[in-house]
Amino acid sequence: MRPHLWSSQVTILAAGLLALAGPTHEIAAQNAQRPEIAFTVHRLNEPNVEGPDVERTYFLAAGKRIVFGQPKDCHFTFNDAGFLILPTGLDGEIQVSRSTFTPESDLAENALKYRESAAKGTPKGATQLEVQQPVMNPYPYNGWKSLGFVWTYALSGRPMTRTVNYINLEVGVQVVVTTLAAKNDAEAVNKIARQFMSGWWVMGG
Amino acid sequence: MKTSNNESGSILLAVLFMILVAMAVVSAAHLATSGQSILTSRSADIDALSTTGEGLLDYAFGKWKVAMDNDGLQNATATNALVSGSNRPAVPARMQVVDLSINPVDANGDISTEAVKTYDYKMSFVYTYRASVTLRSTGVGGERKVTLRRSLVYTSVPPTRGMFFSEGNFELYKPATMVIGGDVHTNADAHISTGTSSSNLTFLANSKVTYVGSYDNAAPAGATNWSSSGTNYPPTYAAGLSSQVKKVPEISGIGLGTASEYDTTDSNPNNDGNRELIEPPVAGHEDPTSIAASRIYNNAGLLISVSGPINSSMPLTLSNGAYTGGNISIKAQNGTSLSAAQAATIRSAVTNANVTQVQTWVPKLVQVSEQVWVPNWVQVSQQVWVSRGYYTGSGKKRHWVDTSRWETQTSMVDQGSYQTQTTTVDQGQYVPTNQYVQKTIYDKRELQNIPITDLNVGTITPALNTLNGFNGIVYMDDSGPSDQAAIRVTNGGVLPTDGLTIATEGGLYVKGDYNTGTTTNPNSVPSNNNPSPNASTTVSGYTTKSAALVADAIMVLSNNWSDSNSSSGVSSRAASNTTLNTALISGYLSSVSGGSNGRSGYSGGMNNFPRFLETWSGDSMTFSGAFVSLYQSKRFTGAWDTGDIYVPPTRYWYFDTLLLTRVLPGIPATGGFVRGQLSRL
Repeated sequence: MRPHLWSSQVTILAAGLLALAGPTHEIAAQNAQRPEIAFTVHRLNEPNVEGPDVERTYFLAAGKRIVFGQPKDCHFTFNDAGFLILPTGLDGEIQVSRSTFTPESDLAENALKYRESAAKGTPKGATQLEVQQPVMNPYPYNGWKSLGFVWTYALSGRPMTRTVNYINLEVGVQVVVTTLAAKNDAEAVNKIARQFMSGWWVMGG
Repeated sequence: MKTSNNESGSILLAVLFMILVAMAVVSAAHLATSGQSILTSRSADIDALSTTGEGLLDYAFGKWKVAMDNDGLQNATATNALVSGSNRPAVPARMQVVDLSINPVDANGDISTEAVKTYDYKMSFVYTYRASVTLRSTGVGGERKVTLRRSLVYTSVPPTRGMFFSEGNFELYKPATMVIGGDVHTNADAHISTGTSSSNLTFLANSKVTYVGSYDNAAPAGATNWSSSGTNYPPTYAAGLSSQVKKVPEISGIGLGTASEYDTTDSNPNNDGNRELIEPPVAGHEDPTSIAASRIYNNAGLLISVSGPINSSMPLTLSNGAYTGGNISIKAQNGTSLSAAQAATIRSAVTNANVTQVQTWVPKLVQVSEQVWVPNWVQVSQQVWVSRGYYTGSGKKRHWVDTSRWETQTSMVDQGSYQTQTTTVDQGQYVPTNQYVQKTIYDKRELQNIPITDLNVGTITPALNTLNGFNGIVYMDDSGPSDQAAIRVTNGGVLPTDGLTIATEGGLYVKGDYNTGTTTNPNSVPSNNNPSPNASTTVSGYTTKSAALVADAIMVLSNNWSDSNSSSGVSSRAASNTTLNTALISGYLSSVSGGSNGRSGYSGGMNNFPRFLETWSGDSMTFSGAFVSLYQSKRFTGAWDTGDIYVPPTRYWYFDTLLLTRVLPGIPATGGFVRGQLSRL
């Protein structure tokens, strides 16, 4: 599916370090066993109970409408497989996609499996690769459970930081938030990722 | 003909009489004209003296106002120094200043050597001074003298003397149905509108709306860039807009003398504005006297500071005037005396610890061997047959000339191989352990887990009632690592006899009824059992105590609040009828254009000054007290939205008229300077 663009299309795809790809074979194989997530973005004008009426943006997961806000000062694209966020002025990007696991795969018990899966996205040719200890609940929002991994490495001599975060949403699905950024911008990119995710909520939940 | 002598004399007399009459008339005319001239001159001189005198009294007012603002209350010596000697302004040469003075006066209008606090009708306490000037000049007809007096009044108004006092804009944009009974004042602009019809938003006849900047029915910033939602209707004013809405001078500063000390441009963190009210002074920096006098931290009778999960099994030891132990410190000050037993009781009312299962990563570093492809790029040359040629000739003579040949080509070839490498891999695991940690609740507006410390008012009240010298002010502080730590007031149905002010620099949640007279049965409060405009907000026989809650932001949790649902969807957080009888003094967020994270940027308005986190559909939040918005929230800055955050209650909100006569512990007054009427003696 062709990605949808919410802001200037210039350079977005060219600048992306992560490919906003369709589901892998592994994901496709598991799709039948878990609730569907479709990151296609919908809009809804919602009359408000007080104050100004609101326009909500949402995607569907497990049959629920997950409302989110478009991150500020970012290029935002989406297709059915996920979101790609390119923060303006920062050397990095954020990808939100389906997970190859399900929430039934306990994050703590299967930390090594999650790490092994997350490590597959490390680019070939990376040197000075280092992985930090797993981080429990890096995305502590809405009662979610999450597990995060951080890699640092050099790619073509450039120090990079990559994080992969598995998040169990309250609607019974698991998503992955992956950030990739030049080391100097990694903290700012991760902050945008956390802010973006913190704003998710289930309409009618 | 011969006339007689008698006849001639009569004629002479008649002529003389006529001459005398004529002279008298002329003389009278002269005298009349001369008197008028004198009177005209005198009147002009007196006018000039009066005008100059009024100018001198204005000058005196200005000098007095600046001195009061800068240095606080002035005695007679100080005020008279403001207008004497070199401070006395020049007057026209033909005038003399006989007297120019400013003196404090008492309630009877008699001059006093010191400032005298008196009480204005219902509203406030005042300090009255009298400026007096006597001027003299000389002119045609003698000396002229004028004496003028004007009262100079500093009115000290507790900000809780109205329904809502706002330092920032006062905004109501299409709130759910609301009736406001009480005065509203803003030191900025008022934007007030309703969405469907004017009857949705009513200001009762006893509600005055006063503003300093402007007044309109327009949408505030942030409300305009959302979808269009029809007409903004003006609210209903029961006694008419012209009699209820008024532009007034600014009421500035919290505590006399503070406004002139405020400076956000210097490096001193202790003089940055009204928010100093809730902040402890930062050590190592000057704390200006007037600001220091307004700090609740300085004025509190009891300081409670927590630094982590409280462990009540640890002993409390007295050190530097504070009972400390188990991550809590309790200090009495300002004349309050505190025993070890009382400190222990107070500590038992403060809880914030949970035993929680925490996943801890236990590393296990192992050496693993793996086959790693080690590239070995080498340059190799090889003979490659290159086919090429060309046609020559034309027509039937056209033929192919083959120039193909072997050529040597060089290319890079990876002649690497798999090699066994040994690396260190962490094959650890998460191990669950029970840890003593600080309790948190999830705040959907802040999008954060908030470390929280509960103050059980029901437990602490008996102790506070027995504290000798306690002034009714408790200041609580969480010095833990989170900027968004908060205090939660629970079980607050019954307050100490002499009232209670609870203040903190962070957020403050109030859970359930407050100051209603019962801690056990919310339904025994009529406003909970049968919410209606006239329902009592206390149980029978209970008189509300002086009460104030003061914080960076105040969140109202209903009687039905459950921590375990705090992170669930809004429909899982069902509220129940809840009543508060207290003043709420808290921060505000300004409306901004262009929100973020899916939120509009609109402040939420006065109706969301106390913030909600539950579904209040069909439930009421009854409030009797006053809202005071003095400063911007600095720590709890989550933007307003409804969404997953709250569904509004039916709001029965009233101004508590007891606050007209009550002084709330620790709440300084806002001040206004007024020139009284001019009188001429």
